[in-house]
Formats: sequence, C-alpha cells, structure tokens
Amino acid sequence: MEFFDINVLREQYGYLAIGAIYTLGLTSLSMLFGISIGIIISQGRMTKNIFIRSISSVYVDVMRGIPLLILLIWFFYGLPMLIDYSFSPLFAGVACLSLKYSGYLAETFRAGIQAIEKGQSEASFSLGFSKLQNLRRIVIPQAFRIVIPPIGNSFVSMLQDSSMVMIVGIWELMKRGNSLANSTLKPFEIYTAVGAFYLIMAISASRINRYLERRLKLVR
Amino acid sequence: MTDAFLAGILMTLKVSALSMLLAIAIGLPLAFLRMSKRFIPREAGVIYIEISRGIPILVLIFWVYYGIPIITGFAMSGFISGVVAMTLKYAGYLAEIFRAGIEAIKTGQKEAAFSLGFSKAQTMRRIVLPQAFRIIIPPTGSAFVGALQDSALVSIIGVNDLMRQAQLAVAYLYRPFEVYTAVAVLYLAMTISFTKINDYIERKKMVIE
Amino acid sequence: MTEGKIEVPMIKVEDLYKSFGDLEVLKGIDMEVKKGEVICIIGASGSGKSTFLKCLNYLEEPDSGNIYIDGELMGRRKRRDGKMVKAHAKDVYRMRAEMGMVFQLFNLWPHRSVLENVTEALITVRKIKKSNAIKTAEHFLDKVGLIDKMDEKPAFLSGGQQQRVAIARALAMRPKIMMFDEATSALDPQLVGEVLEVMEELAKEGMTMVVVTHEMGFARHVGDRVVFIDEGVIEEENTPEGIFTNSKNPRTKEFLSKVLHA
Repeated sequence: MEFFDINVLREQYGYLAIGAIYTLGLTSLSMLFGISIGIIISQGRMTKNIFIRSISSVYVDVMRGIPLLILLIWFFYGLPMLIDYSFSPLFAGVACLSLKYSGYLAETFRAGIQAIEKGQSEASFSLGFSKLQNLRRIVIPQAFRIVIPPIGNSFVSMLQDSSMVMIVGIWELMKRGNSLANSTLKPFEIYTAVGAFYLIMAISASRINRYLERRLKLVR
Repeated sequence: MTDAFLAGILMTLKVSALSMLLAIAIGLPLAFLRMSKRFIPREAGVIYIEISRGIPILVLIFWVYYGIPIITGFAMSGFISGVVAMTLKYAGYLAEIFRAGIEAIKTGQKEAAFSLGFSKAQTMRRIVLPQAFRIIIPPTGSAFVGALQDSALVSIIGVNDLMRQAQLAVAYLYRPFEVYTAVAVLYLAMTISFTKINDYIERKKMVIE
Repeated sequence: MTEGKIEVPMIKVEDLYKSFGDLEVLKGIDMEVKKGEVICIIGASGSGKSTFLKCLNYLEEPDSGNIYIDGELMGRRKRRDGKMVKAHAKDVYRMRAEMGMVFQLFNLWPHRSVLENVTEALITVRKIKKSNAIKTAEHFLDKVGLIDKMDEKPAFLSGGQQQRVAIARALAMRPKIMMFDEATSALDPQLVGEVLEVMEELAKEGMTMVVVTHEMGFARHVGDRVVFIDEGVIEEENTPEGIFTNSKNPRTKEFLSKVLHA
C-alpha cells in the first residue's frame, strides 16, 4: 500500500475547497451575530441594575462553560422536543456558534471599554455630555482599537470550532472530509488535507489580524 | 443510571486531566525551544505551535484515530487517540502561555542574578520560574476548562465519557431534551466550579504579592 | 422694600454628606460662593476636597444635602406630589455644561487633536455648527497661548500645555463657574507657573472659581476666600490673611506649618 495517495486529493480537492468556503461563510456570519449579542451582554455586565448585571454574568458563565458539542446537540436534538419545532442544521449551527462566542466576546468588549480611563469620561460628563454621547464620541472610538486583536483571535478559534457543526449535518469542510474519508477509505490523506485547509485559513486570518493590530497602533 | 453518568464524568475528567498533564510536560520544553536563540530549534518550535493552533481538535482526533492506524498498521483505542490528539493540540497552546509568563519576568531581575554570579540555569530555577509560575496559573486553569469542553468530542470515537453516556441514555429513554439538558448542567457544574476556583486562586495570589 | 434685589449666590451648598462604602468623606459641608468670587479650598489629601468639587457638578452623587447652582437645585427635582427624586438626566447634562471643570490629570481625549478636544463639546453638546465651533475654539486656544499647537495630538504636548488646553476646552463652553481640581499638582514645577497665570487672568476677568489647590501662593494672592477642609468638615473659612497670617485654629496652623515648610 502506498504511503500517501496524492491522487485522491487531486480528485477531491475541489469538493473540500467548497467546504472550506462554507466554513468561512459560516464562521463570518456567526461572528457577526456573536459580536452583536456580545456588545449587548457587555453593556448588561456594566450596568448599575443588579438584576440585569447578574443575568448577564450568568449568561457569560454559561456560554463560556458549556461545550459547543453539547450546545449543538441540545439545540438541534433536544430543544425541538420541548417546543415542537425543528431547526434547520444551518440555523442551529450559526445560532450555537454565535451564542457560545457571544460569551467570550462580551468579556472582550467589557475589558476594552473599561480600559478607557475613567478620567476621560469624567471630562466628557463635566462638559455636559450624555452617557450615550460619551460612549459614541470618546469611549468606543478608542475601545475599538483595543478590541480588534482579541476579536481576530476569536475568529480564528471559531474557524476551528466550526468543525463541530458537522454533527448537525451542515456540509462544511469537516463533514465533507468525514464523508470522503469513509467513501475513499483513505482517512489519513483526507484528514491531512482537511487539516491543511483549516491551517491555511487560520494562518491567513491570524496574519490579517496582526496586520490590523499594527495598523491601528500606528494611527494613534 | 446514575452510575453510568458518574462513570462518564470520571472518564471526562480522566481524559482532560491526563491530556493536560501530558500537554504541560511537552509544552514546557516546547516553550524553551521557542525561546531558543538558535534558528533551528526556535523555528521548529514556531512551526509546531502554529500548526497545533491552526488545526481543529476534531480533525486531530479523526486523523489520529482513523488516519494513523492506516499508515502505521497500528491501531489505538479511542481513549488513547483522544488523549494523544488533545495533548498535541494543548501542548502548543500551553507553550505560548509558558513563554509569555517567562518573558514577563523583567530582564532587570535576571541581570541582578547574573551580577551576583548566578548561572543561567540557577537564575531560571530560583528567580524566573518561581515568579513565572504565579503568572501562568490562571491561563493554565482556563486551558484546563477548555480541555474539559473539548473532551466531549472523544465521545464521537467511542470513548465512554459523559457525552457518550448522554447519547446512550437518549437512545434508551427517548427523552433527548431532558437528558441533554441534564448533561449540559453537569458539564457546566464542572467548568464553572473550576473557573471559580481558578479565579479565587488568581485573586489570592494577587493579595500575596 | 429693599434697595437692590437680593442676589442669589452662584453656588450654595447645604449640609452635604458623602460616603464611599464605610468611609465617610464629607460630613456636613455648608458653603456659599457669590458671583465673581474666587474660593480656594485647601486641606490634606483625603480630606474630601476633590469629592466635594465632584459633587458640585454631580460627577459624584451626594448621600444627602442640597446643592444650588445659580439658584437651581442640582441633581434632584421635586415631583408633582412633592417628593424629592432624581433629576432628569438632561437637566443634569444642561447644568454641567454651564460649569467648567479642570482635572489634575488633564483628561484630554488622546484620539482627538488639540483643536478637536476644544470643539468636541461645542459640537456634540451645544450642537453648534463645526465652522463656528472652530472659531470659538481658536479664540480660547489663543487666549491660553496654544493656538499654534491646535493640530497636534495631546500626547505631543508638555503637561503645562495639556492643562492649558484643558482649560480652553472648559472655557469654550462659556461656563458660569470654573472648578479646578488640583490643576497643577501633576505638573513639573517649572510648568506650574504658566497654568497659574491663566487661572489668575480668569479670576481678574470676574469668573466665579472654586479652586482646590496646594499652591498657597496662588490662594493667598488671587483668592477672595480660603476654605480649609479637614476630615470631611470645613475647619476654617476666611480671607487669605485670616487663614494664612491670623488663624487662631490649631488644626489650620498645624496644616499650614506642614505645607508651607515643604
């Protein structure tokens, strides 16, 4: 038996590549939702209202503590039993990725906003700014620069965790690899290729992230 | 039934803890490799770390469990494959944590030690590592919590961890919502308690300093 | 009935109390500041001076007591049923805009240029057109002597320059009152003078000022009244001569001897 059958890869390269594109799209969409939810939750974490603050804290603890696999299976196989409604695999996949990462992103946003010294907001308030005006004009423009690198890292993480959504039947890169490995009986070659695809995506995303980080530092 | 779940929890803890210990054992030398002044060891470290941080753990698990046996003719159990995959992945992750911790100890302290006649090894052992240790505890704790969550994936290759017990229970009871909710709560109990303990240790260490 | 109308004090503080957790910082402060007066507040660190200042514009919320700015109650309002409740946020913002504050650490916004720091509030709070805001900003930057730095970012200015920009930023809103929270304490000694000069100029022009300071020379020379706060209460209040030369109060004398021999 050959050590490494490169031919099977030559044939199936395109099939996997499309899966990679699905993975990218899936991850990007989930990041957008995750960021939106994360911003809201981070506000909840910083509010004066104890009730809202506690709920937000619990949300963050749960999302950061629950295995994505169980969230996916619970959402796709368990929840429908309770509410008598089935979700499409795509919906379930995006929802679970978004929810899980919204927990991490909420903490990222909170840290970013709190990193802006209190004094600057005091100056704004002393001039008559409203809380919203201060956020929009003073805090967020600066917090934005701090927050971009961690968001980039979350994106890279999510790219990899997205492999788990194969379990609910989305035909992204991992599921295609799995199906191919079973049909061609060449798991070593196939999973090596799958790994390579993920690696290329992860490294590219990291490079872009580091570039952004440097660009943002210069503008200051 | 509770026996089964307890066995599952135990297996989850076993897989996570074993992987973490092995990852630490590999990660520390890897960190030093990464910090080496010589090109080859350093680049080798960089390459390993970049690869391990770019490949999903699920891919690693399948690659080890399905792929390696085909080319080596040597089959490994789900447990061993899972531990190997997790170790390989987390070693890179931890290596970066260790590196950051060690590099955080300011050169001034090392210079003071050298000026007093310490060797490099003595400086590392008596001055740098004891302090770096305190810095790396919290992120390592977080990594363990991550490992606990990733360990659920080994259920896919047949390891009888908590996740697999859940699926067996569902097949038996036909109540997916209740079972999966209960198992989710069990996982959360583990991860949240470890996280709180980790936070507590972090706070206590800050007070000591 | 009387010859002139009774003039409402610019600032009136009644029985102000403020605690942070268990720590009681202000223990019943009463004060009146007339229009055009320059009040200098002196005292040891931790005596409550900064907290007092921040209560005036409600950056800190007092636990009890009343604060009237130009006759208007600050931070609270009387509901129709007579109960005292928190003021509407926009009233607080409006009143704050009429009061200028200069901070010990300048608190300029690093991502904005000097000019933008001064125009920002005019545009965002007063909703003034950008071109008019720039004209106003340039006027006040010129007044503090920094017109040539207007396109620089604050990080490139010295401490004294940054503080003068901060003063211009506050003045551009044309406030009724200017408050200075240890405005020169964070400056190198040779930079203190340029800032005190600007403050003295303001005083001469008739601005109502409340100045928390360690600069006893300034308090003596420019202040109309000096207030010594110790451990959350006003220990003594008098003219500069009354405090610095003729004080009979032992605590005042102890504080002054420590500070003036430093």
